[in-house]
This record gives sequence, C-alpha cells and structure tokens, in this order.
Amino acid sequence: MALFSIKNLSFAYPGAKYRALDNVNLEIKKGSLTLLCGRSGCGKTTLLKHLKNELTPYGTVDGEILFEDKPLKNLTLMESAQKIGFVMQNADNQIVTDKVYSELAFGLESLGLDGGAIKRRIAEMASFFGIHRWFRFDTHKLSGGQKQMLNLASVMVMQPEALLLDEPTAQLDPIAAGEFLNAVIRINNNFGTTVIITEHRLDEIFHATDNVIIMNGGAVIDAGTPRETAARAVISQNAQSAARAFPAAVRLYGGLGTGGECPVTVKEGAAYLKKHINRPPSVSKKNIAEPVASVKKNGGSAVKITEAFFRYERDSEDVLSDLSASFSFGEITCVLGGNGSGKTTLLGCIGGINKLYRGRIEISGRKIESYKNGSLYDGVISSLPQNPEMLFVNNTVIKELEDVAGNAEDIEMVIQETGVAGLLDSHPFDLSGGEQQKAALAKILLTKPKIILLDEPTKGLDAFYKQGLSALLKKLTANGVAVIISTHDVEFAATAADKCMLLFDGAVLSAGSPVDFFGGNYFYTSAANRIARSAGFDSVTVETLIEACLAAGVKAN
Amino acid sequence: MQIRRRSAFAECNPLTIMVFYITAIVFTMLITHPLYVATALISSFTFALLLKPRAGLKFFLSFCLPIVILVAAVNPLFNHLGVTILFYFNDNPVTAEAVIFGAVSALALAAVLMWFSTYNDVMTSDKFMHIFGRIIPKTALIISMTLGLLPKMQKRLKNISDAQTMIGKTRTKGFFQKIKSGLRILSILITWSLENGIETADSMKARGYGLRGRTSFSMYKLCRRDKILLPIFVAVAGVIIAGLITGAAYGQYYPKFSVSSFGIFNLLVFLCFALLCFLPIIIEITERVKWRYSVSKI
Repeated sequence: MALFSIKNLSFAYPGAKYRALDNVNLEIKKGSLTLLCGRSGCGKTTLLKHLKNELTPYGTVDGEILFEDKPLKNLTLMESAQKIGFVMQNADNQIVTDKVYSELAFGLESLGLDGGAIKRRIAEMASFFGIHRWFRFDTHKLSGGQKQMLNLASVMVMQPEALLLDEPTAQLDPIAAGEFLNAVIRINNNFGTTVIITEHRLDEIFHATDNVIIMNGGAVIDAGTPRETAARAVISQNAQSAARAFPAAVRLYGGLGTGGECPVTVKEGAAYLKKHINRPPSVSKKNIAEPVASVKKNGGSAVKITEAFFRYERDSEDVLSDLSASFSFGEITCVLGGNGSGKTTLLGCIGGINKLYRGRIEISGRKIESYKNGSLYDGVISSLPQNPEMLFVNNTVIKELEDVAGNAEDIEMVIQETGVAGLLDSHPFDLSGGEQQKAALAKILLTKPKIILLDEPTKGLDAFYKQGLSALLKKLTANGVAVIISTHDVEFAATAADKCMLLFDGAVLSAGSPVDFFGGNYFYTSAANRIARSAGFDSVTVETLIEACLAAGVKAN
Repeated sequence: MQIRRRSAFAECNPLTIMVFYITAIVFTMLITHPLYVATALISSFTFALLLKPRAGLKFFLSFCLPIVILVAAVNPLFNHLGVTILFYFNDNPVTAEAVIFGAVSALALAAVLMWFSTYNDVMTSDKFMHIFGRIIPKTALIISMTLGLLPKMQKRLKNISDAQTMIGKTRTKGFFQKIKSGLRILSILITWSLENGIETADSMKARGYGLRGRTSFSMYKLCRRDKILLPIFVAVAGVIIAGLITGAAYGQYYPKFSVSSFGIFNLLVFLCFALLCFLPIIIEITERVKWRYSVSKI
C-alpha cells in the first residue's frame, strides 16, 4: 500500500526560470526506507518539503500528492503534525526550548496531551534513543550529535506514520552521523515507520534502503532497489553527478566495469575485489602514491609549533598539550581528529585568537607575538570559519568583495579564480552552502594571505562542490600558499591533502602523506582504503584504486 | 567532581516552595514586632547555612552585615521622631525610638535578603517556569525559548568576533572605529540569527505549534509531602493575617515604643509565624537524619 503517491508534480519558485520539480511521479510504500539522492540543487529538498504541508514552499504547483489515498492538502494541522515528522539539516536551529525534556514534550503539548501521557511517551523515546542519560540537561550544552538525536526523538514521540529527513547528518562528524543513521534504520525496522531521507553521506545508509531515487534538474531520473539503481547509475551519463556520492564499493564497481552484481558495502566491495583481480598487486607504494604529492616541492616552513599548551579557562582541562607540528608552504595539510580533539582550537592558536600558555608558534619563521597590531592579517594569515555566514555584512556578493579590497584588478582576479562570477549580485544569505563557501573564500583570498586556515570546509557540501574546493585549493598551493584544514571528512582528506595529521588528546599523534597516513590507520581511513587493503592495495581514493586495479588486470564476470 | 549537596526542601513541588517564599517574605516585610524580626532572621540565616555553609556565611558577613550597620546607623541621624531623647548630635536630637526602629528594620531587611539568597538556590528557573506554565502556557514557552536562545546567541557572538578578527576586521585605532567594528559584528549576529529563526519557526510549525488547546508539560508532581505542607502554609498564613488585622503582632515605635502584649491568641500567632519560618529547616534536618540512618544500614 502506498503511503504517499506523487502524481505529475511540478513546481516553480516565484520568478524562477526553471521548474524546481519537473513532473515527478512516485509511490512511497508504507514502511519503506527511501533514499533521495542527487547533487545540491537537484530538487530533492524541495520535493521533501512538498510532503509536509506546513513546510511547502510558496510557488506555482501542478499535480497532486496523495497521503493514505487522500489529498495531502486536506490533512488538518493536527493530523499533519502527528502523522508526518520532519527533521532538518541544522541541529541547533530546530531546538526550541532550553531543557531536553521540554523539547521532547513540545510536539505533544501542541497536540494537547495530558501530563501523564506526555511523560510516558517521552520516557519511552528517551530510552530508545539513549537520551535518558542527559534527559535533564540544558539543550545548549549538548554536542551536535546529541542535538540532532534530540530533534529526531522530539519528532518520534508523536508516533508519526512518515519520517522525512532532510540531510540530517550534513553538520555532524562521522561518528555522530553513523549513530544517527543507525537510529533511523532502527526506527524503520522496529516501528515500521516510513522513512524518506535525503543524504550526501551514502556509505552508512545506502545498503539499508529499500528504494533509491535519483534526481537531476528537478526530475526523477531513476528509481529502484539500491543495488539495481547503483548498477545503472554508474554507467548512465545522466546520473553521473549523483553517482559521485555513492559508496566507494559502488564507484569501484563502476570504474572497473565488470558487470555482475553491484557491491554496496565495504565488506561486499572487498569480496568483489578479491573475485575480480587477477593477481595480487606487485606494485610498490611509491607507484600508487598520489602523483601531486611526490612532485610538489617543500616550500619552506609556514607554521611551526613547538610544545604548545592551551586551555580556555584557568581551571579547565588542557585542550592542547605538548603539541608540536609544522606546516609547509605549498602544501595542503589536513588535521583530522574526533569531536573535541582540539582541531578548531589549534586553528585558533595559529590564527592568533587563542594565546598559548606555554610553547611557541612561529609564522613564516617569526614568533607569532612579534606580529603587532593585527599585522598577522596583512597578507599573512586568513581564515575561513565553519559557517561562512559569519563573514558576510553586505547585501550582495560584489559588495562583500569590495569591503575587503578596493583594487578592481585584484577583485577581478579572485572572481576568476574562485568562479563566483555568476553570484556577484545575489544576497550572500540566498546562496546555497557550497556557493556561500566560494564567496567567503573569495573574500579571504582578497587579503592575499600566504597561509589559509579552513575549519571544516566540507561540512554540508556535496561531492561535486568538494571536488571543486579541492581543485581550487590545489591551485592555491601551486602558487606557494600554505593551506591548513581541520576536517572530519576522511574521504576529502584522502583526495585533497598533501599531508595529514591526527590530533588526539591534545597532541599530534601521526603525520604523513595520505597514503602513509591512511595506510597505517584501521578505522580512521577512507572506505576506499578499507576495501583496497583487503586485496593488498594501499590506495586511499577510489580513483587511485581503480587505476591500480586496472594496472593489475581485471577479470570480467 | 564533588556531588552537589542535595536539599530536601528543594525537592518539594515548586508550588510548595513558591507559597513558602511568598508568605515568609511578605510577613517578614509587614511585621515590625522585634521578636518576629528576630525569628525571621535566625531562621533564614540558619536555612542559608544548612544549604550552603560557606557561601551563606559569606553572603551574611560581606553583604547583609554592612547594610544592617548602615541602615541602623543612618536612621537615628536623620529621623528625629520619638520622645526619649538620648543625646544631641549636631544640635539634632537622637531618640531611643529611632535607634530601636533603625536596628529592627535593618534586621528585617537582612532577613528578607537572606530569604532571597536561598530562594535562588531552591527555586531554579525551570521550577519557576513550571508554575507560570500552569497559569499562562504561552508566556512559559517564551521564557523557555529565551533561556534557550541566550546561550546560543552568546556562542554565535564569540564565533563571529573570532571570524572577523581572523580576517583582520576588528583591528581598531580609535573610539569610533571600535564602535564601527562592534556594530559590524552585531549586524552579522542579527542577520544570521533571523535567518536561523526561520528554521526554528519551521520546526515549531512542523510539530503542530499553533493548534488550539496547547498543554504545558512539567516534570514535577505533587507528592504526599506537598499535600501536607501546602495546607499547613495556608492555615498558618490565615492565622497570621488574622493576627495582623486584630493587632496581635504589632510593633509601634513612634512616638513611643510599644509592642503587642502576650496573650493566648498573640502567642498562637507568634507560634504560627515561627512554624512557618522554621519549616524548611525542620524538613531539611529530619531528612538528613533519615538519610544518615538509612546510609548507616547500607
């Protein structure tokens, strides 16, 4: 039985030239787990928002949506609140109240339930999600993962028929994201709740879905079981941009072009590789190593940190303790580490806003203290914060750029470099996450920094934007700029970095080229590497793995 | 980390606690009989010591005591009512009545301050919310949202100012530049918060906000102890009000010092007041004894 039937749905935002949704026809079965994928701007969020009356954007609609065989539009506010739950991307913004328990009760209060019933329902859900340990906490003291879990639970207390999730893990670190997606899978399995989810991070959930729907330009271009859809998507021209975000095993399958059953998990990928590789690789490490890394010259020391200690308050714990590290010009260095391992703090220390209580930092060979009166920011260091919105003060992108530099030539050059030419007249807050980041990057490039700090630059970006970002950063380092990135994103670090380091317990534990670094890690490594090592390869990205496999010889099915 | 000392009185229902503080503070302010004032001060001070021995003593010595001395000293210097002249100060009479009134009202003030000092520990914001949520659910939600929003804004402000610093935008040379850079940060904070507010509104709508008949959920329930305490507070308050009306607890200072004499009814009124003031202490101590006893059996 279909819970949602979408019939010939088209939609255009007011004043838009293109339809955001173009003749969409879909049946969502009751109790199924459906994944909507496609690159940013393909219309998946717009489609999802059409399934909940209160969130449907304003514009011209054509076609209709049936919910339980009745028009969705006829649902009362009460029914809609109860039967259709929605969780959005930003965990912080969805939290309304100050205490965890009052947040859980919020929806049930709206429905007018009495105290006893509310208490029973929230107790039940709190136990299911493991919230009982922080049930009485203030909401602002929770971690990002806990906040998003709370948002999910606050919706689930209403016992909805359908759960709609719009990129719920985009702002979370990999561990929290995995926990969240596991909770979603458990909800689907245990309660039979129908789940529709849009995601960029497909590795964790792809295998558990019943249905994968691929969208492009507002239209559904493919739908089916994950295995079938994946097998079709990797060879289809249309679905290329969506397929870039597919699990490593699927992309490997596509790259080798063997045909047969498509693997979707790391485990299946490893089995697949064993079956299809003629002989174990005899190639040495050096041959597979990223070519860029080996060619690049070391451009001298950009930042040198010696035995650094830092804490935020006199009586708090050390965030950095005995940290020594060096960063070179002409290199992209990725600092990896779990939540609260001190990555952002380290960037703050290099950027001059956190002062060490012991140890020294040298920037371009000079002690950081010797940069007086903000001269550190005169063409030496510039930093891109986690939320690019924090840099925007004007109402168009071009004014943002003029705010930094008066020189028209410089501005023109940066616009070329970052590719923001099409965005100049837009309001910075109207841009998508990826576009905002480009605009913010353009803004900081105008200060002509020799060292660029980026804090979690891939948060919420799709695979397409990540590639663009990585290409842009490589161009900058080719000109001798030092790029220092703090990130959770192992896959991004594997493709973009010249050097990776792992931060743990306030210090740098290991540092090296991506191949050495990820080759030595078991858990903290890319999915491609986990597949590769089972067959004796040491590649860390899908692309290099495919290359290595092809070199070693691939058996067709 | 040290576990925070638990307070038995603080575990009562917020309504019980609120009724206690309202009656105790109002009567402490209204009654000027020295015996009552002394009772209020002793009980409020003892209760503070029970809840937080060090901080309570510190608050009393460093904050209440100076105020008491000041008020007690100032009143006779500026107030020349009263018939018993002690001596002349700068050609102005200093009367015994003014001295006594100054001392008594200073002690009453100290008692009220001491009540308030424990009020903050016992009546936390969520308990206050519980009571207001019952009366006006909408306001309660607004307070709760505000309490949730403030730390969020604080964090954002810090992030924005750091981000602006790291692109060299907060360097300031003069006063006006400082203001300009502050306004810049504030403007980003407001734009950004409004932008985020849209999502919060969506999240509220999606969970049925705006439906009629919204209830207010709270974690507190009325226990047996509250069901005993509340009637006691009400009865005691009734007796004291009767006493106030009939003049069983008056203290008069001008022109001549006189207080209500001791009769059976007057004694009853006083005992009621003492019971009211000492109830939290009684609860606190009996619970601690019980606790010791049950711990000793483990």
